[in-house]
Amino acid sequence: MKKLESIAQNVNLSSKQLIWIFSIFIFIIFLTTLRTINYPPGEDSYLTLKLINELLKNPSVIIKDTLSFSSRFNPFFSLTEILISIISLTTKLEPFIIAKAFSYIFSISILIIFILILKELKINNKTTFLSTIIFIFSPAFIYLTSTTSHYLLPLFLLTLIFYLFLKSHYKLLSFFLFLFPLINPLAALITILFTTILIVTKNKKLLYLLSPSYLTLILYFTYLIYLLKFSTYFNILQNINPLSLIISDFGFQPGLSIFLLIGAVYGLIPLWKKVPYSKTLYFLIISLFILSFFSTLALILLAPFISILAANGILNLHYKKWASNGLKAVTVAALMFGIFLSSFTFAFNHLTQLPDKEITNALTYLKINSPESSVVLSDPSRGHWINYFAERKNIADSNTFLAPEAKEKLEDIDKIFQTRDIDKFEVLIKKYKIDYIFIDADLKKQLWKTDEEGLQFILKNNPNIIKFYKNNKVEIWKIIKN
Amino acid sequence: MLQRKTFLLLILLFLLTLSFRLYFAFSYENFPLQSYFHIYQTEKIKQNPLLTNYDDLSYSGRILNYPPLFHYLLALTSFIPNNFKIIPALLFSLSVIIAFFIALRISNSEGTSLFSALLYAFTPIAIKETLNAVSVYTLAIPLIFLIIYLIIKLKEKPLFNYLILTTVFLFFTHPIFIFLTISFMLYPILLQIVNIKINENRKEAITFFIILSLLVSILIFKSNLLELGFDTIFQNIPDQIKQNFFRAINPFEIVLNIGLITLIFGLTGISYGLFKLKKASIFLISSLILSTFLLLAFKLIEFNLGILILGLSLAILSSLGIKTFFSYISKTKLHNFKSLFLILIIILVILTSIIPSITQALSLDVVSDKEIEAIKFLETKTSKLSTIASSPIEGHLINFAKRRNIADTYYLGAKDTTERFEDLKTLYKTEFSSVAKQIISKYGIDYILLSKHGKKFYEIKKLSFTDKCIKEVFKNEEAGIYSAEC
Repeated sequence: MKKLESIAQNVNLSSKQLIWIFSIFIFIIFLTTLRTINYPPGEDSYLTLKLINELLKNPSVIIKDTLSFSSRFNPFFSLTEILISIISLTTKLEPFIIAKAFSYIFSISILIIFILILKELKINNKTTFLSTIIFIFSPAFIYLTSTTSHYLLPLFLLTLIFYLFLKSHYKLLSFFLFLFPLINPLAALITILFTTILIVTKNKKLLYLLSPSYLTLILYFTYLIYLLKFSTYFNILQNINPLSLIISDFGFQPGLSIFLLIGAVYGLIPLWKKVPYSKTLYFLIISLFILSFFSTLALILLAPFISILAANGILNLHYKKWASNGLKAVTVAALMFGIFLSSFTFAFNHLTQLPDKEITNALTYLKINSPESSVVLSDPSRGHWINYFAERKNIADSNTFLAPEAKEKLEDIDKIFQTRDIDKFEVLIKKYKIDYIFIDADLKKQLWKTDEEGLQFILKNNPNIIKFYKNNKVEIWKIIKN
Repeated sequence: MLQRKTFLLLILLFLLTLSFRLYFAFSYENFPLQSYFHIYQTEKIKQNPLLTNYDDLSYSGRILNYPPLFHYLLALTSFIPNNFKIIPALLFSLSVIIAFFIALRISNSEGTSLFSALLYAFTPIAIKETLNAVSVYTLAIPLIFLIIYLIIKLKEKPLFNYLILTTVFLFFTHPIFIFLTISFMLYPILLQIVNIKINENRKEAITFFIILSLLVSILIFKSNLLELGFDTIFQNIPDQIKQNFFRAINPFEIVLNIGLITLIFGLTGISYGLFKLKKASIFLISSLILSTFLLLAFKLIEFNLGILILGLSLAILSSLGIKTFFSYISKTKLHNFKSLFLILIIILVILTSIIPSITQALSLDVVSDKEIEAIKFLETKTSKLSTIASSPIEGHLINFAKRRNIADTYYLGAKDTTERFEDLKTLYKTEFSSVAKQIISKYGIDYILLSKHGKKFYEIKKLSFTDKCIKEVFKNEEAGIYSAEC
């Protein structure tokens, strides 16, 4: 206890430190506004935005999404999207603006709770300050503030529930845990498991408070088992390349910086002795780390913990007596520089991601000039854009979780892209009732080297396909049906 | 302090290594193909010391990220006649001295350390890869072993400034430093397994090296890492030849390239050092061997480079193996035959290391005078803006003639390597002039070089297609140049 008390000294951040944190947060927000278009980068945001749009038109999308995979059951309850659409209905504000405001509000809320947790854990103010700075600069945080991602609310809830546990507000904690599976079942499962261990460690008698959350979780998984009837097995382990999957320096978005991981390794061991509930926290960190190879969500949930460990590692290296001060200075500076370099590289690459103006223009044109029931073929990475901007059905998108015939559809898309056989092409076009083909410059570069390859050859030589729209970067082709 | 006799023998060994290398180097007029990459880079620095990372000749223009220290060193020593032959030979010969001192630290025996330095100097793979070659490894490998030596010495002396300097030199020499990074990551784990506490000075040096090396690699190869991700390790090598570069371990090839005695005594040294002596310094070099072996086993490094590091490290550790062997013999009834064993080992060293080294030195694959004649023709008789098609292995030679190539063997950062590799193969092997003309127009090819090396590479005797547009403008016994005039 005495030890904890001694560590507890200087746990509050000074006003100067708070100003720094706030300024850096504003700087990150400013960075995210530097995109050439208003719309967020990447794909994830468009799943959220599409669901909000659809909810406003047809609330049955909670159960059945008619645009994704040309129609599928929605595996999530989409509470975030429901909330945003209700606000949009009542305030008459654009859903996109509310979603953007949500991302800023929840980002700053996560940050405040993060600082409060560190205070509750009696972590000294230098570690708290550095952890917060590193967290703000982490690829995960930059990603969350720059998108309208469905990962934001789970991270908020995880931090909030942990904070409520530390403050012993169990009833509130129970309420949020009850809601959690309706927002994101995987994050809920991790959080409920983690909270159960924490409560068992502290007071087993309080375990009854978690029973509502167990109930929602069981109900949800029963629903998932029901959905399995409509979907086929999809191997998430295929093409796993461990390091590329989690390291942002190897191009993975939004991964962890390699320097953050090194700092975390140096911070891991000494922190064991200092922090309350360290064993449970370690269990959570290691579980999240392993899960990170399979789920981006786990990677995002891991970010605040890795930031604390990395800050602790850097300060350990800094305050330890070294035989050579020069060596120490270079090492600590290199580690810090590496962390910030990774963050800026990530920010640049992330913020310059598609979609761009040409893509949004092309898809808006498609929305205006095509029948509502049209099916659009493109790469699965363009699936959410087709749903959101054109409001048309895709064959497949990147949300393959419990999607109908996901594996077969992805293989067939690949076959359409690669074949030069017109008969084979026609069969697949008929099978999926495809009306339009959407191709952008990046996709073209990625899939074909010349106009004589695969689909490019067919587009050039098949009289039943006409060019429907073209701008500098996008081509939309229309299939003429007999 | 070294005994006077040992000191003299060490100098003698250094001179022997240098003479051996220079003798064979000067018996060849030209260099192996790969050397022309370094010669070309050096020439570029001589013309413009402020190097940019854009190369307008390689792949007809590309970003080229390559640590430049070796090229600067060659450019700075260009006042020495034949510096391309002398400097690499001198650098490798100096590394024999470093190998001796590491071996001495490990075994505490001057005699066996001299013996292991001899094995180091005559490791067949080192002869094959670095003799008469303008090879960056002749600088990078001594730096690697110097860093290991300095880290071993750190336990007694705070040689941090030398360490920082050597580390910086290595970072600016070759990405090979990643081997050391991985082995330094393994080192504390190995020590933990056998419950040895890591010396604080060494711990600091290793932390410094790991963090800085990762930062430097990300700074140098940032664009490659973002484009290729983890696959950067495969250097963007075309799919068609990836298997040759990153191939599985073949025990026979290892014995042949490392030498039987080096292998036996090296492995004896490792097992005795790790399991019996449990000396932290032995763990340092063992972690380099282990990391190289693991990378080779998982086909994550170029086979020849892996074997080179493995061979040289085992040669250093063999000092402990030899010492262990003779101290074991002296405890048995065979101690009277100690001299006989020594003679037997020397014979075996001659048979498995020195003779294979001489054989390697006599059969180096270098560019012939006739091929150089063709290159001179390209340099003097063609337009400066010409694009020359050649096999990728001759790409650097085209750049050496100050002309653009279609592809060369520095693949990292180059565009469409697999496609270019395939197109060149089609150009040389196709029987249809229409196909050849399509490739000629795709890359804007002005001349096609067909040399002895190109013929061997594509397994052809002549160009398979004929066309009135393709005219022979140069020919000798080993090379031909064809102009594409349509």
